[in-house]
Amino acid sequence: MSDISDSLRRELRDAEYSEGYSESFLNSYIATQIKVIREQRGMKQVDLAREMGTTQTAVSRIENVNYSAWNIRTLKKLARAFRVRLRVSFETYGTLPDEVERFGRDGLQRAAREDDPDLLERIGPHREGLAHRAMAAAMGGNSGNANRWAENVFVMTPLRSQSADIPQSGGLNAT
Amino acid sequence: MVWDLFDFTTENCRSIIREWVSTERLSRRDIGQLNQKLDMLRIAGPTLPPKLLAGPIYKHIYKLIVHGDRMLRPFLCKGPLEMEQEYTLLLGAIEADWKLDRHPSEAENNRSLVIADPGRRRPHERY
Repeated sequence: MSDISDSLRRELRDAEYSEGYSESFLNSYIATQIKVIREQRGMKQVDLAREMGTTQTAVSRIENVNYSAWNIRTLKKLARAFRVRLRVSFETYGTLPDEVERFGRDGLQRAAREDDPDLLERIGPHREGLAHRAMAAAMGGNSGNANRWAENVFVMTPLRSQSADIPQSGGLNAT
Repeated sequence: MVWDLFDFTTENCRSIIREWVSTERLSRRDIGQLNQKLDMLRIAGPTLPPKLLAGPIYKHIYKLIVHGDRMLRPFLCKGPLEMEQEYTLLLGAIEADWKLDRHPSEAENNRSLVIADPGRRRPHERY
């Protein structure tokens, strides 16, 4: 597929062409991702419509690579229905060829919040809160130092258990 | 799996789609949209991107939907030689006021010519 990528890199230098190509890709990407995530959730269009408070016809209309009348409100509704976050971002044209090459079902699927491996592997908010409060207490109520400690712990060494990683007073070399 | 794309060729061995792009004087913007849809067909196939193709609108003929400044509707067919790995672009068409400027039977005829003589097509060229 690198022939597509190489040709596209040259073609995207043309202003009119790049706008036409990228806007068409955006529409195709959104429509396809909606369909892919809906199928990943085992939902029919009518199920998604119910979650969004709209009609199956409306879902069918947006699951179309030629639909272009997107608005943020609808996209947010979709994100809530799929239990994922919506990210809207401006990008350079140079990143487009790689996105085009990677386009496929696997790359479009997204885990729901409750199945998100990035959330499951990290310390939960309850434990995090407990650890932070315990650290602040160990530092004599200095929550600023406790924040820095928490950042270092999360970046460098994941907590193994709630108590094992909370240093005793005076035992921390925070940077 | 990447799908192969071919262009039907005229009797003087020129891509019928390239000639169409040229004679219709398509804007660079429309060509960008057309190429995007064709890239998507190659990379993702006909079923993943929803409503990429419409049809069959006549016998074996599908139309690619491109909503540009002009409503481009090039006709194509699956195969016709390797049915599960290729598409062949057979004829350029434009829709205006819900009417196509070419009849898909012309594309069906071009398809028959390819089946009779596989030399009547060539690997797809970007425009």
